[in-house]
Order: sequence, then C-alpha cells, then structure tokens
Amino acid sequence: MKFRRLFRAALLGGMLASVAALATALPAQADNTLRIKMTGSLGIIDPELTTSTPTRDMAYLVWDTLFATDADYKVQPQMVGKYAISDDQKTYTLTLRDGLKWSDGTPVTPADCIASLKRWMVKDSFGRLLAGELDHMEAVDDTTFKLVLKEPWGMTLQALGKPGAYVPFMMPQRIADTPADKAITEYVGSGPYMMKMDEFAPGSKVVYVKNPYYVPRDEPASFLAGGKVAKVDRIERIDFPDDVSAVNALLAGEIDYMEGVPPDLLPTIEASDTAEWYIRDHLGKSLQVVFNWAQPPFNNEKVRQAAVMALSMKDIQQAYFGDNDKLYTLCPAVFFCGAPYETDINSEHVMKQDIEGAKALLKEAGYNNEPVLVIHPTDAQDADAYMTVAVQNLRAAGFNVEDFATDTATMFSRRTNNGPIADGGWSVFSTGWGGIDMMNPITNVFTKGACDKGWFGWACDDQLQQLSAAYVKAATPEEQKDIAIKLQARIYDVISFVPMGQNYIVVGRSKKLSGLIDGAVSTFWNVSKSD
Amino acid sequence: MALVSATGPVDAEATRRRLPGNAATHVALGIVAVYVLLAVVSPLVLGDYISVHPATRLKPPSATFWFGTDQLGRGIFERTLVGTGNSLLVGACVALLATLIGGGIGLVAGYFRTGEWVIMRLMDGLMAVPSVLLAIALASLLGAGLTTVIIAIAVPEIPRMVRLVRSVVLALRQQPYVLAAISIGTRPAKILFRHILPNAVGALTVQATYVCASAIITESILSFLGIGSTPDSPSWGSIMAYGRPYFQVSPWMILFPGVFLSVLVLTINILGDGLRDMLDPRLRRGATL
Amino acid sequence: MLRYVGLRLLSTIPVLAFVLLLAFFLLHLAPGDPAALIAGDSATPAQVEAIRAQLHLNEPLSTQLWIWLIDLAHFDLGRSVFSNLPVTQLIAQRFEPTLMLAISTTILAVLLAVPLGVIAAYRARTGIDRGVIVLAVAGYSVPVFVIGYCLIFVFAVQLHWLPVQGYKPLAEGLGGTLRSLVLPTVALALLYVGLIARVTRATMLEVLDEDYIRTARAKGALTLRVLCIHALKNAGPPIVTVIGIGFASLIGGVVVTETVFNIPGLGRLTAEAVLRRDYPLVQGMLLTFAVMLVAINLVVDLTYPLFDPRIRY
Repeated sequence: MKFRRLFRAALLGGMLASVAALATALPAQADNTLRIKMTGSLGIIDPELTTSTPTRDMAYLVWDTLFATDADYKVQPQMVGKYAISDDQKTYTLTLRDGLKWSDGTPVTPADCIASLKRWMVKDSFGRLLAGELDHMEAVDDTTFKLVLKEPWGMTLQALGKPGAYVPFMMPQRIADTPADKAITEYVGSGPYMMKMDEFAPGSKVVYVKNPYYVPRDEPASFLAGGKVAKVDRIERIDFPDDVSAVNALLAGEIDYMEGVPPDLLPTIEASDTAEWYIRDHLGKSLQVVFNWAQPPFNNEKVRQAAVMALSMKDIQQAYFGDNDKLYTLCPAVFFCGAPYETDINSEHVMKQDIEGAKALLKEAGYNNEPVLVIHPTDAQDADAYMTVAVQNLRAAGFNVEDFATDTATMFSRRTNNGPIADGGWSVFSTGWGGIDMMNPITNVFTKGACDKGWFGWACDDQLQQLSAAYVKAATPEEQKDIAIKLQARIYDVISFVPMGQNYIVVGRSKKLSGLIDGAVSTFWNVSKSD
Repeated sequence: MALVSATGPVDAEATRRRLPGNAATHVALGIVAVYVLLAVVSPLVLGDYISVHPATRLKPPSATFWFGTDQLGRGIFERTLVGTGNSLLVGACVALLATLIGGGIGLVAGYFRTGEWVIMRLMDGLMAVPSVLLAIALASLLGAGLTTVIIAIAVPEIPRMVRLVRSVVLALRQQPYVLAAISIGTRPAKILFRHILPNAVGALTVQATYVCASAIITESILSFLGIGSTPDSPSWGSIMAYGRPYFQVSPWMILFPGVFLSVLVLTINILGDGLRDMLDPRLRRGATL
Repeated sequence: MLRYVGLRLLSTIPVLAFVLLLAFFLLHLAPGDPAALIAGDSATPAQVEAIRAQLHLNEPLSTQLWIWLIDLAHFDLGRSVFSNLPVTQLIAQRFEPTLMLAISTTILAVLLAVPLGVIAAYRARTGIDRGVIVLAVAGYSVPVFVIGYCLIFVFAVQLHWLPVQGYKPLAEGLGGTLRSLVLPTVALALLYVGLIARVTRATMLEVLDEDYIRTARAKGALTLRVLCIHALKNAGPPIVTVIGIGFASLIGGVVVTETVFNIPGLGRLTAEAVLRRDYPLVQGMLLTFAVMLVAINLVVDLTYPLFDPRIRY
C-alpha cells in the first residue's frame, strides 16, 4: 500500500513538474539571428581542400577575394582598392583597400595574399594556368604587390575573380603556408563574418557572427562583388537530413531560409502566410551524364553516340520535377542556357530521343552485349529519379545494363576507378556541376579531352585539347565565344559527357527577410530580418 | 508434490493431443498461406512493376492505379504485392536465424553457465556493431543481395535474443520443479526441452515477432545503400522508405505496404500465441482467471 | 558482488579489443574511400590521390592499425578526417541529445508498458489483452516517421505548442530540453510500449501458474496486488532485460527519429561516419557503444538477484 501511494505521489509530482517546465519555457527566438538550411552538410571548412558547394558557399562568409564576380559575370575589385596594368600588359600592380584586417585584428599584408595565391595555384586548374603564365609575384610595400607575367595574358583578372571552386580566397600567411593537400586548422579570414569554433557541430550546426574588423566596400552589393555589409548579428547554418522537417521548420518560423526545396513540397510553402519560395538562380546546375572512355563498350565513339540518342531529357527531368516545368529547362548548351556561350549547335541527338536510331547505331558499332554498369545513387531523390529513367532508356535501346544502386559516397569513390567493371570500375555515372563552373571552358571539366590526366570519364580527344588551349590564348571575347561554340560541336560529336537538363536553384524563405542577393552562390551579407 | 513437479507442468502427451485448435490460429495460418502464394505468384502474374512513367507520378488510388503510384509513376499495388516475397524472406529468415541461434545460445548460457562468461562478453561486443557497417563490409565479401541483408540484420539481433532467453532461463532454473528434476538426475537436455524451453517460448515469440517486423523495415535502409532489394525488385520496406519524403502529399505510398506489414505482424502474434498454447497446457487455466 | 563487478569491469578490456579489431577489419573490408569524398565532386584523380597519401590510406592495413593503436594507447581517438575535430569532441556533442532521448523514451515506455502488460496477463484473452496486441502491431509495423510527421503536423505546425525540430541542450534550461523531447519521445515510445508490454505479459503468464500464485488464487487472494508483488517480481529478469536491450538500442542511436525531428544524436553521426568512411570516427563510436553496452548489461545483470535472490551471478 505504502509503495502504491509513494508511486502515485511520485508520478503526480513528476507530471506537475514537467507541465510547469513546459509552460515556463519561452520560445527563444527573439534575436537578430538568421537561421538557414543549406543543401548538403558542411564538414570540411578549408575551401582549397575540397570543391564541395557547401564548403565554397560558407567560405564566402569567412574569407574574401582580391577580385570578385558581379551580377553581370564581370570581374570587379573586391579586397583590392585600385590596380594598374602596365603598358606591356605584363605587370599587374594591386593595392589593397585601406584598413583591411583579418578577423583576429592583424592587418592584411601582400605577403598573406601572395602565400594564399600560391596555395590556390597548386589546386585549381585556372590557378595552374595562371601559375604557368606567371614570372613572379612580389610585395611592393605594406599594401601593394605585383604580379609579373612572362607574356601578356588577358585572363589574369578573371582567374583572380573566379567565383566557383576552388575560389582564390585570401588567408593569413601562417595559414596559407599549409600544404595544399593538408587541411588548414585555423579559420581566420577577412570576410564579413567569422566562424564560432566553440559552437561548430559538424553535421548539425555551424554558427557565424560578425567580423568586427570587416570594412565593406562603398558600392551596393552585386552578386559576389560590391559592399558586403553584415546586417544580421548571427547566422546559424542548421543541417536537416530530412527536407520535410526543414519545410515544416520554415513554416513554423524555426528557420528563415531553405535552399533546395524539393519540387513536390512547394505547394506546402505556397499555402503559408509567413513563407514563400522563389528561384534564386537560373543557371543553377545541370545533370551531366558521363561515360567511361577507358573501358568497353564506351571506349567506342559510336556506342557513346547511341547512348545519347537513347536518353530522353524530358522524361529524365519530369521524373523528378513532375509538372513543375518552371523549375528546369531542357537546355542544349554545354556552357549553360542563360550564360554567354549558349548555343544549340550540334545538339539534335541530345535534345531528341531516338530509340530506333540508337539501336541501329549500336548494331553498326558492333556492340556485343558488353555489360554496362550504371552507378545509381539511391540516397539522393533527384539522382535516383534521373538514373532510374536513364537505365530504362538505355535498356530500351538494347544496352545490357547493370543497375548499380548505391549511395553517393560509394559513387564518389567508385568513379575514381578506371579499370574494368569486374575490378570495381564503371560505365556510366551522373553528376551535377553548377552553371558557375560549367559556363567557362576553363573551369568546365568536360572540354579538356585530356585522357588519363582529365576528369573522371577520361575523355581523350586531340581536337578538344587544341580548342581548350586556343581558348586560353584567345585575344578577344569574340574569338573566345567562337572557340566555345566549336568546343560544344566537338563535345557532342565525341561525347565527353552529355547534359540532361538544367535545374534552377529553388529557395524557400521567410517573408521577414529582405536584401537577399540572387545568384549561384548563396550569400548572406546584406540580408536583414524584420521582427 | 516434488514428484509431480518433477515430471513438470508440461505434459508431452497432453501437448500432442492439444494441437492448435482455436479459430484465430487457423485464420492466421490461412493468411500466411495467402502471403506465400502472393510472394510466389505475383511476380509472374502481375503486369509491369519496373518501368517508370514520369507523366503519372504520385497519382492517388483510382480504378487504373488501385493503390496509387509512386514518385516515378510505378503502381504501388503491383510493387507491394511483388514486394511480399522479399519482405517475407527477410523477415522470416532474420527472425528464424535470431531465434534459433540466439535462443540456442541463450538456453545453453543460462542453464549450464559454463562458458557463459565468454559467450556473454562476446555478445556484449557483437551488440555494438551497427548493421549498416556490417552490411557494407559483408556486401564486399559476399556481394550485395538478400543473403547479405539477412546476415547483416540478424547478427546484431542475436545478442539481444541471447540476453532475453538467458534471463528467462536464469529465473526458471531456480524454480522448484527444475531443481527437483535436477536432483533426481534428469538429463539436462530433457530438462531444457521439457521444462525450460516451453516456458521461454512466450518471451521468445514476442521478441521474434519484433525482430521479424523490424528486419522488414531495416531492410529498406540497406536497400538505399544498394545492398538490399534493388529498384527492380521492390520490398515493403523500400516502398515505404521511398515514400517518406512524399508522406504529406502522397500518403498512399506508405499506407498500403504498411497495411500488409501490419497484417503480417498481427498474424505472427497470433501464431506465436498459438504455438505457446500448443506447448504449454497451463495457459488454459490462466485464461480462465 | 564487488568481486563480480570488478571482474566484469576487467573483462571489458578483451570485449573492447574484440570490438576494435572487428570494427577495424569491417571498415577496411568495406569499399569506399574518404579521400574521394573529401576532395569533392570536381577534384581530379591526382588531387584525390594526394589527399589519400596525406591520410595514410595508402599504407598497408597493419601500418594503419598500428598508427591507430599507438594513438589509442595515448588515449587519443584521433580526429575526424572530414571536420578535423577530435573524435571525442564530436561524440561528446552528440551524446547529450541521445542520452536524454533514451532516458525519456525508456521512462515513458516503462510507465505505460509494464502496467499494461500486467493487466493483459491478468485478463488474458480479453479486450485489454487484445488492445495490447494491437498496440504492439502498430508499434512494430507503422514506421516511426509516420507517427513523427503526424505529431509534428498537429502539435507543431498547426497548434504551435511544441517545436518542429531540433534539440535544446540542458545548458539552456530544462524547459526547452523537455519541450524539444516531447514529440520524439512519444513517437519512439510506441514501439517500446508494445515490445515491453508483450514481454511482460508473456513472462507473467509463465509465472501465473507457479505454486504460490496457485495458493494465493486458491485462497481467493489473487488480486492485482498479489500479481504485482509476487508475479511481477518473478517475471522481473526478462522484463528488465528487454528494457535494458531497448535502452541500449536507444543509446546506439535512432537514425530515423533523429532525422525526422532533426535531433543531432549518435545515430546520425554513426550512419554518416560509416557512409563517408570516416575511419577514426567510426572506430571511436564503436568503442563508445561497446563501453556503454557493457555498462548497461552489467547493471541489468546486477538487478536479477533483486528479483530472486537465488539467482547467482
């Protein structure tokens, strides 16, 4: 009996206590904090170690660049205040803006910038081109340094203002001296925000606060250029492994910004009074289907062409987007639609599915039912939908497809293997480079034709190599565009890859936000949040 | 009294006479038969459950699509029925493996107590290994497939079964009738099978039912890694798992395979009770309390 | 008893060694390469190779094991190859949410399940008994995310009573922590209520016929009270065991629940670490789990004699 009474009392007491605790708990939301949900998870912070998009986007908060790309894809000075190009076009004299400091309060020096450029030039393809052109770099005084080229090179500033990975971010020399393949361990930059290391919880939360030493430019913000004014005091990047939860959190006001809303969840946001969705960037990314040139059957050009004829861009996109055809475009261009080198040259087979033609071409190519291993990541909704349709398309044309369902992580390691399927190799995989990297033949990996030195797929073609080299040396914008068009024509002949639809970046946002900057990179300066 | 207890409350003769008799058990057996039939027949009889139709994705149930369609426009009806095979196989095999191996080890460890120390510590260690890691490693050894899935899910379940059965045995071992049986020199095997096992069946079947259902759901996690069922051979677990992001817009992707799974779990529960009745005549009296 | 506890604790060492070796070989058996993931989508093969070398991934297995063991001997679990944070710090970050969720779920489940199981046994084959079966069926076969989404929709999105997602640490106040735990606890508890209630019922039924119960019944004294004191006591070990197993599974992490409610717990950390082949992190996690399991199982074993003093260790 005693036990029973005691038990009852304890139970009652416990319930009362929890009710009281619940009632008194105030929703701790009242502050000038921006809570964001971004695509992917931020694990690696060092922007020169990885090309991952989350790393790149968040790095723009912490680090700044000498030059930056504006909304018209023109390069503008950013950390650099004024610059001069010598009459022989070989010496670039760059002077840093007044009062630039790292977030630890020490001034930014030319030695820091030179060390940062050196680390970047080891990793980045554009950087390596610049390194090849470069005679030397030297500091002139406390704020000025010189880049001296061997020959005039019209793309020097474009390289320094490169928006996509690897971005030439400036770091203090002691950090920039870290070997390029080793991760930096100290995250000090001269960007508008700084990372709060004590609150860094990888896979869960990353917190940024204002950099007290940041001095913005005076011009209005324009994409990655102009004045980056930090308006909110604190940015919390919260990871959501589940998009449904993220949308619910947006509707409930627990987050303010959600990048990459799945198309099927948009109606939920449309029904809300407090949130809305919009297209942040029309370049976005495209689906790129890549074939393995190193192994049969795709070492045969005709077999690759047959595969392209078999694929249906419309079906592939519809499988993920359904009826939301405002969220993507069936784009014929290698260098993206809505970008300077957009063209539809030689894209007839890319745009139109032709199963019979594919069958005929396969026969002509002497395809002998060799197995085709398609890497099919099932843990990403979009990739899963795309590849399910692609497998079906290829089978319809008579390919002997092994549908290799796996996770994205395994795909990343498997695609590095250029051996036969039996030894862990592959035949087809897909990826999703962004327009910001794809629009330029220098940063686009599919233009190179560099064989085993090239990107996965190991496309190998003399003409592509020559055209790529010619592009780098082209003297005028007209000449560059001309070469870009030739590159596309050749790419669609030899099939170094095939684009299967261009997807826009869809963002859900709280109606409290203002000052958001459109573009392929997510930026959070200039953003303010009303009460 | 001691002698009566020594022959035990479970009388083998009585058990044999009392074959599973109640109606619920018969219905349950009938359902199992239907499921097995579905598993065998539906892949042969049903139309296309593989090819995707982007134009008809996420359609609600209708005369054309009885259970609606999934995110790629495939019929949920066809996929659920065809998925019966994979799901039954995984559920049944994992439950059987865990019960037979885990139950066996648990009985021995709890009764004889020789080697118990080593066995139980080994089990402590095995419990710590996550299925996902085991599955990925096994997949590289045995290749991806249902065998890998079954082993990967069963292994971490075994220690749990061992601990549960052992705890039942530890308690039973001190009961007067067991002590009496030991004192008159009954063979350990006889004691185990006559006195201990029947009294452990209740807990064993509860755990086995749970293991079976959880294996069917866990299989879907592995199928996302390409280790379980492939896109061409669906399972209830994978249909539901693919339906998760669409739950608010297309709940039918989860509803129908979920109902199939629920019926299976209910059926196993009833069969478990039936099995217990068959082995344990005392329940008759318990039921009249 | 102290000697027993001491021996058990001592035997943790071979258990850990076993887990460590198993983990190491399982991990390296698994195909996959953290270097390719670190380098990112656009890295060239040469860049991947450079990172691989940096992480000692090209060394023979025995060398890698040796490097790790040396670190371990210095009580250093190493650093995550991705975030470069110490493994101990990463695990510590995730430990509190997981522990709190495990405790709240276990308390709720036990408070509901044990009485339900007792009543189901006392009134076997009646409405309440069938109700427990239905509860168990629902708990086993309705995916936890279905219950989770429904709870979120009603109590968070529509009524705004509770947060949609996230975990508020204890350091920010008990109230916030409890609020963030209510929905995930309810969603998770259903499964364990079914399981524990069914095991309670099953073991109770075995005890119901024992001599002393029979005596009590003959005297007309078989009330719920007798049931609770005598039968439940004797049915104790299996019930405590199943509660312990449940608690251990909860500590191991509940990936789906953590995902749906966006709780940064050990389950998600383990799954991500395994998928990304973050070798030091996975090894550190397994070590942690093994220690926790040994402790939980020891505590469970120590309770057996409380129910029946005749049970020796």
